[in-house]
Amino acid sequence: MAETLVFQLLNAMVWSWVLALLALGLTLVFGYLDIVNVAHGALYAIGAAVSWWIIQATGAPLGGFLLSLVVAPIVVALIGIVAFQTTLRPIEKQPPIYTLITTFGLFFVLQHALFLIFGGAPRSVDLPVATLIPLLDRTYPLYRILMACGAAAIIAGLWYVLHHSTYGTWIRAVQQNRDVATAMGIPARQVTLVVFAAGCGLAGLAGVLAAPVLQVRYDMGIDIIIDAFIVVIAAGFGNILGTIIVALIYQLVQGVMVMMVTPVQGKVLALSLVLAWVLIRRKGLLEREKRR
Amino acid sequence: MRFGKLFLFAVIVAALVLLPYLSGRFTRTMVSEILIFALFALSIEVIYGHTGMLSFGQAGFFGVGAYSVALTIIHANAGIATALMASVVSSAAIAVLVAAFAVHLRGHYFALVTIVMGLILYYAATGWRSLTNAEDGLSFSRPLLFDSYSLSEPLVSYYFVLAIFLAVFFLVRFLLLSPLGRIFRAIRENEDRVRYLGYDVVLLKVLSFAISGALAGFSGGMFALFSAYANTEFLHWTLSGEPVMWSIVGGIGSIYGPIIGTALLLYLREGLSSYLIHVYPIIVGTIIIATIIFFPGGLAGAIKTRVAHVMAKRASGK
Amino acid sequence: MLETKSLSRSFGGLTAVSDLSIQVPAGSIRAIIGPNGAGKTTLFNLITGAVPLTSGDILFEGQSIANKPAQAIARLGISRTFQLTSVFPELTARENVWAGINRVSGSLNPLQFGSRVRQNERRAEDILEQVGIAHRASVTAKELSYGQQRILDIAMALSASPRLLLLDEPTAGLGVKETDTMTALIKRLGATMTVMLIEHDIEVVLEVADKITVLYNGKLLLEGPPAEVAGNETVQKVYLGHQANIKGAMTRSSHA
Repeated sequence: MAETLVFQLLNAMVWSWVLALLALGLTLVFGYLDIVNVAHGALYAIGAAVSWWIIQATGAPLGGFLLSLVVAPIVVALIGIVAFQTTLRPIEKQPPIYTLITTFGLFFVLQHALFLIFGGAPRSVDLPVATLIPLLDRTYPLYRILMACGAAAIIAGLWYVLHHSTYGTWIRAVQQNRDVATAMGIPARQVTLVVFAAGCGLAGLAGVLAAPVLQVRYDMGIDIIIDAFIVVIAAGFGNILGTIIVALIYQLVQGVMVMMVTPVQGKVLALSLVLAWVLIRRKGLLEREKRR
Repeated sequence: MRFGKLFLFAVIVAALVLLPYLSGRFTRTMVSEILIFALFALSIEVIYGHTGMLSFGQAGFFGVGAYSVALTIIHANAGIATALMASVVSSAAIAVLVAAFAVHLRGHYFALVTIVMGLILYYAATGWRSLTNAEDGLSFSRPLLFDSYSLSEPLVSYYFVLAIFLAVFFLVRFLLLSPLGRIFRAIRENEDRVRYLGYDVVLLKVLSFAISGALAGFSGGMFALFSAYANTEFLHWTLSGEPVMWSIVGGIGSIYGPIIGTALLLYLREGLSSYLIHVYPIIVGTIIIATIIFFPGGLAGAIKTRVAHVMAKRASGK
Repeated sequence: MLETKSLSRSFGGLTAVSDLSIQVPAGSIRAIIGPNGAGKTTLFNLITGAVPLTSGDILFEGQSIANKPAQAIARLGISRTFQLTSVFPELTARENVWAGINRVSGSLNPLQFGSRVRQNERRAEDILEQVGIAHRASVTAKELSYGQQRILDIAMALSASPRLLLLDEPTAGLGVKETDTMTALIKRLGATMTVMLIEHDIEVVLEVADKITVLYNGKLLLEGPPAEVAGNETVQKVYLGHQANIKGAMTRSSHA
């Protein structure tokens, strides 16, 4: 029992980093661009699928995986760029709620396009690092630990770029006042595009990291995107540290709860907690909305 | 113009009444489904088209309504009227509960909270297997209509759906054209100003969400009755997006828009045969994006502009 | 009619209105003037319940309205207009005005008789007639000219049958002719209700106001009849810098 609990908690902690990575892409795009990207889950699935193709093509679990860590986010970011320029740029001046409907349409297009190319059958990706480390009386895959570390490193890098680079300053300037930023010579159009592409790229990266642990399916994004949304809503948009903490708590709570109740009941409880939390905090959310 | 509109309406109703004699089972079933889902789409017109709050959790109400019908019939031996009443009451009650807290949120936040609400209902339903039988769902045999007509009879089923649709359509139309509907629109336009005119905006928004939820629940109840079945997929979040898309494509802000959109997209879905099942979402996704970019008023909006254009041309010609 | 007692409101460290006590008698037209940031609009927001007050009290007809919800204050008979025109763009001018009338003498019961709705619509047209835009009744608000929208904003405030009307810069952005129309309108309104107005155009202020309240940094600087305020040296110094002529300076500030 205690042993199971340890493994549950370890899994939760490991998985929370991938979830945080996925949620960060969402929160970046919402916090800085005011776009709720429903298609994020489809982009995550595309990242995982690209990774599967590369590993198949190279035949090398580790080499292919490392290559896909670079290639998949670029592919997904490029898809994001095309999607942004063709579907979101034209409605920039419309009420922001339109973006929610547009990205819902995008989600349909991307997910089912992936089905047509990738097929409906789930496929598995070999662990890039097959080492198992002994833990208590069992073993634990080293890859999962590395995966969490990788996700954490990417998040740290993102934080550094946002807060300690010129481009990060530009991004924050554009968010605070686009007109003033443009007047100061910041290429606001380019900045918004880069932020969107980066958000999509993060989804792709999360997909690559998750592929060896889960099975790759065209609709693998549907369930996890909901978890990511929950994390983003509870953490507050654009808040990196909050996203990490909430992702961890959310996973830990679920991990512990599955010991006592069914996973679905655990989900209902977790969702209800988040809903209560958001509604209690609604004053803060309201003021934020009014400022826009 | 007014006469023309009335005439068009009469033609459409006549066509719907005569339809079973003009076509086969396939069309009849499809039209029945379109009529039921058009009511689902109208629930978006109430909350988003009129009151300006986008709900992305309507499937929660739809599923609750469907299960209300299934459960009251299975466990309480309810008649059709009672079962449908149960679907309205249960979904409206949930809507009031959620809205009482959520209507303070604006824009995205309201939409996101409705998503979470829909998810909670979905997971609660899948988790409560003893009651809902999860994705395997519940089949039930339908009670007789007026104690004498069986809904298994194709014609009875079709005319039942048509009569209900017309009745609810006129009810919703009446409601939206009434002072209440006007104030809903005023809230959409400028909620603060409505408050400064002395209206209790919070109460009105709760009311609007309750009406919308009741309508979505009712359509779910009707769908369960029509198919003699309910399962938890009725509550899935991707279904919540459907009425929003139908309404946008048809045209938000007009009571005809959501109906036109529902008919169009469902016809498209039925038209694409089963092996193209994954092409349909791609086409619909593309249509919705194109509509938002090129015709924000949807099909109804485009028709309206076109008619106004022709009328203006004719007037200037004289 | 309206009385504020040591009214204060601070936003974070900034005090927008501080220890303000004023009295507006029934049936008068009171102008509130002062430089930008003097707390004029905040005062209106406090009276109408848009923002909660930090301390003090507001009495309307002897009854405290401090921190009551906005709709409750509106129901007591206080209406306002907005610095940035606030109408229902997609509704017709008639419907815009009807909304307020329906709140006072109609209901939201969908079953109310159609004749009642039409009756209230006719009353809406009467109000539009009163303010001079009756010929635009069937046009949506967004299609009205800017000046007409400002007038519609006032018509909407009137629709709720106010006893106290707050006008926030009614002439801002209007042309010369429209300003004259607006001035005449305000004067006429003053005959039937109490009016408070924030206004930068000093000519309008001198013409319509019975009494002027000058705010500076959220505090009451001076209060008195127009002639007295216009001639006051402190006002000219503090409010206008070192301008000799109040008229010239204030007109300029309204264009700034």
